[in-house]
Amino acid sequence: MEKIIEELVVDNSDHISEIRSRIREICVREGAGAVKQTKMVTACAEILRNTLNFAGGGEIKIKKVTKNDSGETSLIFVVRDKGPGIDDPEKAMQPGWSGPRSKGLGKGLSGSKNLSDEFELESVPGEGTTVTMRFNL
Amino acid sequence: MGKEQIPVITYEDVLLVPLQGSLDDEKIQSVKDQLLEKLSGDKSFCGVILDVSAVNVVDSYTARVFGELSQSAKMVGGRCILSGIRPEVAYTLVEMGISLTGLPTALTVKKALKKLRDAEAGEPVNGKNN
Repeated sequence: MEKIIEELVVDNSDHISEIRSRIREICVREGAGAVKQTKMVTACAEILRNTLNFAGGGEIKIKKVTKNDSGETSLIFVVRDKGPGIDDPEKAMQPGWSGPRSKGLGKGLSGSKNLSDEFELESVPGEGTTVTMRFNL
Repeated sequence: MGKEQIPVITYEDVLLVPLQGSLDDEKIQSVKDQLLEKLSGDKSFCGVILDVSAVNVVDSYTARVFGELSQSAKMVGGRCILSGIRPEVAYTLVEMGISLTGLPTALTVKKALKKLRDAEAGEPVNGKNN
C-alpha cells in the first residue's frame, strides 16, 4: 500500500529549512528513532541543496509504503528537478565528486546513498534529475 | 521580519557560538562573518567554541563551513573546537564518509574551554581529555 504524505516545492534555501522541519515531524509521527530521523533529514537536505544549486529548484514527494504481506513500512523521498541533468551519474556518485556550483564536500550524493536503505539516481542531460531514497522504518 | 541570527558570545578570551536548530546558509554565513570580524579586530581571543549540542542536522555544506571556520581561526592565531555534537549527528556524518579532520571536539562547552586553556598552556588541543 502506497500513500503520498506530502508534496513540496523547493526554490530557495528557506524552503530547505522548512522541508527539513516538516520531514522531521513526519519521521517522529511515523515512529522513527533519533538516528533514523537524522539520517532521513540529512540525506534529504543534501539532495535538496543539490536541486537548488544545480537546477534552481525542484520538488520533493514523500510517500509511505507498507508491504501487504509483512507489514514492513518505509518512507520514500522522491526529489525531482528539471535542471541540466548530470552527464555522468556513475561518476557523480563517487565520494569527492563536486559539481561546478557545489558548496559542500562532494559527499552529498554518495553520503545520501550510504544513509538510505535504497537509493536510485536517474538523470537525463538537458531534462533533469530524479533521486529516490527509501528508508525502512 | 528579519531572521533570528545566531549570537557570537564573548566569554573572557573565548568566542562562544551556540548554534541552534536548523542551520541555513544565511545563518551560517552570518556566524562566519561575525567570527572573522571579532577575531581579526581583537587579537586577545585565544579561541572559538562552536557549540552544536542544539543542532540536530549537520550536512556536508555545514561540515565544510565548520572546517573553514577552524582554518580561519587558525590563520589569525586562534583555535576552534566543536562541542556537544549529538551522537546521532556524529553517526550520520561517519556514515556519509565526512570526517571533521583538523577540528578538535569536546563533549561539553566546559571541556572545550579546558582544552583551549590547556592549549594556551602548551598542551595539545587534541589530547585525551574529551
